[in-house]
Amino acid sequence: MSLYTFFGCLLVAYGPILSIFFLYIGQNAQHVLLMVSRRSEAGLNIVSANPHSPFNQSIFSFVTGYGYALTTTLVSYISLLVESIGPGVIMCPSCPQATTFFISAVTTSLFSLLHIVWMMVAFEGFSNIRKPSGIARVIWVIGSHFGASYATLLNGSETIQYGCVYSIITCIGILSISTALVAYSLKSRYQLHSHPHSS
Amino acid sequence: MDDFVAGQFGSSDTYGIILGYNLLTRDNIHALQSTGRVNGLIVLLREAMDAEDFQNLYSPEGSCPNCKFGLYANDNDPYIWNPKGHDLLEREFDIPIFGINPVNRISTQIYNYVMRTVEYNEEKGYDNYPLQAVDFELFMWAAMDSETCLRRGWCEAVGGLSVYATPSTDIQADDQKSIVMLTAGMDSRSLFHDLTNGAGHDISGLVGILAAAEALSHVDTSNLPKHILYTLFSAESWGYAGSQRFVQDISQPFTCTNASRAVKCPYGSSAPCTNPCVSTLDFKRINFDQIDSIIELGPISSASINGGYWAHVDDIQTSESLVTMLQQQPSGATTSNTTTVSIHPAYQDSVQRRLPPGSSTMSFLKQKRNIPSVMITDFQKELGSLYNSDLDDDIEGVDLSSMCQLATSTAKTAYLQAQGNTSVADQIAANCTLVSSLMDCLVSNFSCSFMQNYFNVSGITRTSHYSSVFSFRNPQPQLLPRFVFSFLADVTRRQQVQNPTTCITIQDCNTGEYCIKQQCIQSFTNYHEAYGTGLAYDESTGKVRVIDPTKPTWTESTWNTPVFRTFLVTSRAQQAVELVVGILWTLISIAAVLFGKRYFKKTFKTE
Repeated sequence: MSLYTFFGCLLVAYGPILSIFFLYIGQNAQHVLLMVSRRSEAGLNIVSANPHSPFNQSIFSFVTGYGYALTTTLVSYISLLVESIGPGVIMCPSCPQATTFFISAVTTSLFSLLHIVWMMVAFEGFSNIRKPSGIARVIWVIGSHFGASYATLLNGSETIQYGCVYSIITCIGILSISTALVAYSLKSRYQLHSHPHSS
Repeated sequence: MDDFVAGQFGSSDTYGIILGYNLLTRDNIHALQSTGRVNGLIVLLREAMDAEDFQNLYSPEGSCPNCKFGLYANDNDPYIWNPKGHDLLEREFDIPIFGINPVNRISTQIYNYVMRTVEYNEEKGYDNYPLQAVDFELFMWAAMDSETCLRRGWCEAVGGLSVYATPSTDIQADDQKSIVMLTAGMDSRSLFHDLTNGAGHDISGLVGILAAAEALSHVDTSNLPKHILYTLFSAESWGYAGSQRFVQDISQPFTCTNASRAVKCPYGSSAPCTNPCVSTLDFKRINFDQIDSIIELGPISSASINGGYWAHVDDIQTSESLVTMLQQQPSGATTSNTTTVSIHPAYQDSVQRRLPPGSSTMSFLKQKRNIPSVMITDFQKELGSLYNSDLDDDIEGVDLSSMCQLATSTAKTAYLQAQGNTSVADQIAANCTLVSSLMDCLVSNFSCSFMQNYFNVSGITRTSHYSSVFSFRNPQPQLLPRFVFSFLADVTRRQQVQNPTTCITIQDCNTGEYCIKQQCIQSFTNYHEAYGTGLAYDESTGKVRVIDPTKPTWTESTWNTPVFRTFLVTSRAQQAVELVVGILWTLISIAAVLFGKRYFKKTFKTE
């Protein structure tokens, strides 16, 4: 029954996106607005619960990143997903045991997370653009974006055995490094923020 | 295949089966269907079969085809002409059955593609996924029977256009002159109507008649004491629809009511009558009671296999003299290395089997039993393994020289029967090159150079000889009747004193003339409607109805485009794994988000 494939791939590709939406973003109207319109940061800052909270930027970048992830993953994967409703499959050229639908779903899922994290790193980077750490962050986002995209070429390669595995590992690696960057900057902001109160 | 049926083959999933035509028997189909694991069949025909598949072949027809519509339907003990037939043609199947015969570019492409997918599966042992799969779409609308189907508008009458011609261009019903008929059927039948060829079954007889007509065109036949009439009937495979309707129309009075019609008469303002709508009233000039003798050519392609030709008659006393006359004609074979082909009476072994199935003559004898008539075939006792088979498309095995000799004998007999001069009869000879060209063109290559004399046609190799449906709103002759019309019009043309005018289309000629082979000619050649006599077209409503269920009422269902497609599939297990992975991953994401929310709320609660 090819509907197994359809729902399986749908959940793999859009699992993170769906859970984040229903459990986090959907519960706050301002987040939904930010998700679709990225330039509303200034206005939302004014009306937010804590206008001066330094975490607002992180939240905003998270939501904006999520919005970007949502649109790009929808556009890039939905037509392939609809094809999986039909009876036939295409096997992944570099991993002939798996279907293209499934490998692409995994790639899409990873990229949705990557987009969120990249947006957070980029916000950090652009708001500190005069400092070397800011420039480094921006360069990292651009560079790793290219790296992840080129890695997906391994999926379709017919000459490299298990290319899909390398591609997924690369993406996971980039995701881990970017997540670490975000965690580090959040932590330092937390320390900065809570320091006056902890004395 | 036995392994598959026994369940010891491949996985437990459903399969599409590819098999050769020789394996298409009732038992095999039933066995495959009852496994419940077959979703369709693809059948390979002649060009895709091996030589050894041709042994032990039997015809897919029933044991006595069309017998319930023939002359002997009410007999107690009719002779069984096809005892070994598979009786597939009027069966109902639960699974779709497609056929492939790689005879031209596109069918060869599809055949190669299908065979590649099977080889792929074979290499993987038919159970090592991913495998190539196939699904079929073959929807036909018809329901129940002709009457119901016609009422619902889901069927059309099976039929076509018969052709009749005579060199006596001034023939009249009351001219007191008898008629000698030469007749054959033009259509055939098989399991796959798109691929129906009937090379041996009907094309050979048709070619014999056309060659005889051409041979007779070299002597004067328009002023004989009797008329010679050529009749080629369509839809004969469907209860003798063509010949029965022709007999019905020439023996019943024709009344033109010109009453109101639902749809315009397709023959336009020049039609001699708009209700009933007819294109010509020339058939009224043929007087049924004047028919004096009938010679019919049936399947005549394999004389050498069965020891010559066999003449079948309904009643020995009535038709004996006609058989004798046929036997006496020297067949004109002058070269030393061609043996003269002989015509034997089919009853020479003292068994009177009477007329075999497929005989259009029966329709005439039904009306008037004592017309001397003969049907010549290449079989004596049985119809043969290629009768109405999809494999009846072989031109290599055709005995062309015997056919040519038979055409000569037939032409001479017809001439003498019409009381022509004996010394002139000796000069009549069929053109053997013509016989060869006709067989080649009509069986395997309709765009041959010979056909270019009649039509500017290219790219058409094989045409189906299934009669298809008769359209009452726009009756158009199929390619074969169209060719037969042109050919006969040419060989029966009225002899003119001056040179005929050249033309390109019929508009370049005067009314009543045809443009054949780029010349304007006059000829008594016409089409005649052919569809079951159990059906009638109600001109006032524009619908076809069943008026007599005991007579042929064949209709064809309307259909959606038949499609089959092939694609890769993964195993059920793999698909389940994909679903489980998706569910797990979503659950993990939900847990991560919930955990993340709680952690951040706790950690940054000071904000």
